[in-house]
Amino acid sequence: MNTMLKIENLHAAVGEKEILRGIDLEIKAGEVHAIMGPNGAGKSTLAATLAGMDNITVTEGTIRFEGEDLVPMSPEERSWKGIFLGFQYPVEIPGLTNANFMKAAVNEHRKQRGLGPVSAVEFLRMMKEKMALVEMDSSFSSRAVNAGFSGGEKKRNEVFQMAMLDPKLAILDESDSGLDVDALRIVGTGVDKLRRPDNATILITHYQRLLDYIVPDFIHVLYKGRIVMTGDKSLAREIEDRGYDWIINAL
Amino acid sequence: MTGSSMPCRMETLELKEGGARLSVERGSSRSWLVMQSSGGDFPVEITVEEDASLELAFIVLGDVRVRNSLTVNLVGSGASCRLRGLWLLGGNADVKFEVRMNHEVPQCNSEQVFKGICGGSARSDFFGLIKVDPDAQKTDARQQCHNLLLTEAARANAKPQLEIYADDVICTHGATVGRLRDEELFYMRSRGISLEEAKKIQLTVFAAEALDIVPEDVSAGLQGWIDAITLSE
Repeated sequence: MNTMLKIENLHAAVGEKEILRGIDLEIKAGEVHAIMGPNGAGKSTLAATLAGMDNITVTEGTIRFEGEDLVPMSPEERSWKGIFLGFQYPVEIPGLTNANFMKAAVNEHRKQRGLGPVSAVEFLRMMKEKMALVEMDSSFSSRAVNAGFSGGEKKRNEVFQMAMLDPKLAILDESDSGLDVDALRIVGTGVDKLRRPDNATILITHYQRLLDYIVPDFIHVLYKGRIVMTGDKSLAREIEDRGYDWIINAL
Repeated sequence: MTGSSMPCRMETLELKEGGARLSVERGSSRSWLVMQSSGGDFPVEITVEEDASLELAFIVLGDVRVRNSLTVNLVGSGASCRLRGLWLLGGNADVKFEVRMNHEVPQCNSEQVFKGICGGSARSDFFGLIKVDPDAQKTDARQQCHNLLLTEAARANAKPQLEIYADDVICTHGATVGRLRDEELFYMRSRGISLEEAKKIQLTVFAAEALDIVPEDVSAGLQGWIDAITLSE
């Protein structure tokens, strides 16, 4: 299978503080990787580094996506290449409707592929189909982006946007946090339905429960900016039962 | 037809240097748009009579020196005023906008929304007074003034003021001066919207609240100004 993402010896700092301290990770098309770890381990920083957040500096190491160096790319270029970040805390944009937001995004992606703007009919069809995936009702498209959304609605909106943009690599940062059981089911099954042999997913999570819906091929434990253990799906259950101490203490 | 809110077509009001005194007569409605892309001093006083309604929008554009001094007198009960102001400024623009909303009698309402965007070395000063006379019970008066600064050199001041001499009234005001929000920009960019386009979207969305009473072709015509101001940083 093709290597999609290859991270080698990645060090990254937020401001002056080094958060990622030598990460190696290889992800192939068709795979789902879960990243777990205690608070402050660097999980969200890793996600934001992959998406190109500009207050993060890569100080050492490389990130290659489909063979290309990701580090110098702007966030929008990374999106055009097929990277998607599902935010732990989705941003509210009062005054901008979900429909206009997605139309702008879809059209920029099309522009990069040399295509003209999406037709109104086609766009509506896409919206309807992807809204159904995350069980959003019809008022959703005319509501402002995440403004006044419940926690569950925000996370469903992230999965909706992921479906609209059809990324090659989706990085979902705690898409399961703050969800009730129904929202968790919607997010979990939604993401699982988007799995294909030609795309890949990184799930950042604290809990086993999301992994019941999206069964990962690998689970990595991140601690103090490094991957300290890699296992299969059974590792999540073990962590749920025993916590992280047994892993940390064995280091 | 007293008290009705029949929509009326917005007319363009050409202000001449030296200003204007206008009135909206009893039971009638007027809707005026003032576009300002050249400088001057414009004192304007408008009287709104019983059950009359006034809609008034100011749009100030470009690298201009403008002094607007607007007084609205709500003199008959049931009078209402919806006031909007938008300034999109660049270069060395210098805009002063003073508004006095005088509630003189009971049961009038006024609603004001001002939005300012300053790029380049532009500066804007907003002063907005809502005055409610002792007789003007059941007044409903609201005012918002929000500003975005696009550069280090741009300046905006917003000074709202309330003078209330009646006790059974609703009066609110709010004023802010801020910058484009980085986290919104990053969120849009992470979806593939370019930095430039993301900024334009933010400015367009920001300005929109001050354009709700303005005809669509007029607000659509402002896109070029917004694009220019985005690039002019």
